Amino acid sequence: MNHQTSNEETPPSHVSYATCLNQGEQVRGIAVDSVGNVYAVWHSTRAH
Amino acid sequence: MCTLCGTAPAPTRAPAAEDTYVTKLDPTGSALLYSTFIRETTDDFVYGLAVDSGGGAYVCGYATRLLARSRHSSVSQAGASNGFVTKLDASGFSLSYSTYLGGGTNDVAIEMAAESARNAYITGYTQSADFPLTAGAF
Repeated sequence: MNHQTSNEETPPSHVSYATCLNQGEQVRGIAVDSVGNVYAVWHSTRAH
Repeated sequence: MCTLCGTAPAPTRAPAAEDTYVTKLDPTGSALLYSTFIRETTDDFVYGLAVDSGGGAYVCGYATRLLARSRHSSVSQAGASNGFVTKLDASGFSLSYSTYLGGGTNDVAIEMAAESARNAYITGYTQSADFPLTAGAF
């Protein structure tokens, strides 16, 4: 992981998780709620 | 049936070749809580996503044609591209609302936020001289 650091900011120390939804599709936005659930809106070019 | 999460997809029609999906993951990222399509996007673009304190998920973007099968109320829409905001309920299986926002020309909703009172804030740009404004706006 590459970090750009400054005197004012501590870089993250670890990745909690990394996952992919479907190969080749585009995540357009992401949000997190108060309990840590993660929401993603993404564009699919394939029927499911 | 959604092949991602094994649950029935929500709204109003079968998925098309190009679609916008909203997916909710648990805090560990290991379980799909829901994953559902919200609109056909061949001529549309989704830019923003927000979540309110009740778990409602909002997406915004623009549509180049109006969707008869989506449950859209119309704040205002008439242009070649129309900003829209769509809200899913906390389950992800119902549209709480979906509305256009714009005037007679091109309107694009780019980013949004939601507050605890579940009001939605949308930012974007417009070329519509008749974009709906509140009294006293700049």
